[in-house]
Amino acid sequence: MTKVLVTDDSAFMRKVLVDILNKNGYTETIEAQDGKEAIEKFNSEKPDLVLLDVIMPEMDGLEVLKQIVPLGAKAIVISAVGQETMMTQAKDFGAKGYIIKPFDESKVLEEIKKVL
Amino acid sequence: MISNTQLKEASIIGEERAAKALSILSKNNVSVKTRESKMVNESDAITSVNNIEGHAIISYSRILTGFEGICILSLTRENALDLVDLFNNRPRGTTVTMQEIDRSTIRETLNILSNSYITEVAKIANKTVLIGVPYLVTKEGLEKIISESKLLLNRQAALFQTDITIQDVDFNLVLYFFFITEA
Repeated sequence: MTKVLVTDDSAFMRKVLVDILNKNGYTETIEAQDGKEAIEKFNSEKPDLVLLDVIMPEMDGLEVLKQIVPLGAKAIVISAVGQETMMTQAKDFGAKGYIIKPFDESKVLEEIKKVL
Repeated sequence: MISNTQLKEASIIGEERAAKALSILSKNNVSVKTRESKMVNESDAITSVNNIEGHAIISYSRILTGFEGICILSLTRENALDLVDLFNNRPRGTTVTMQEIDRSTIRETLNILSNSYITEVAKIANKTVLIGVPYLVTKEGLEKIISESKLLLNRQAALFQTDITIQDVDFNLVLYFFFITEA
């Protein structure tokens, strides 16, 4: 079963993502509300995929990427409309995919299928 | 320096972006109309913030790159509760007291609206703008933040007043960007 770590400081956005995942058969989900928690949970839970918000308190998504990609993480970065410039940086740091918020279900599933 | 004409052009594209984004989020048809868009000076901006009558819910975030400044979104408590119900697929009137997930819904709305509008403002100024983590504050808290950080010192503000309709519910939101304008 695919284990997905959902990282976003917004509880609302985490819920939206987890609902999409659960509805589509990705029932094993873990949540982290900031970058530090994401790294801790990546190390302890060994998820198959990380969905990662860019702008977060404590540690941003790009910093998280720098730390988890060398450990073998497959990550899809999520950011708001207008922050597309972050896409290049995220790819440089090893992100496998990119989703612009707010997203529809099909876009999320499409990116996940590309990465897994 | 950004002119009122340029700001109006930015608001037309901004409202299209905002409507599309909010439609995806709410899974409903959304109409966004910018009732007013204008550049205001420091004293007018302070007056505007102080005159947010009845707008009890205020969200703010810092602008991280491009400009130095902040974004503020204000709305009435009733509008905030309706917004939370709509975005969380609950019948209108369900939410009476906001929990953390409800507050994060409001913060996310600021994030979406701010990015929709400021992306266009940034294009006019030929800048790349990133907006930081949004927070909810009281009116008094916001005044303290502005006062302590001297954010309005020698600055101008772009003000967008937007009317949003989602599923036949009307919302009135006021969005401000305070930032340094170049000579």
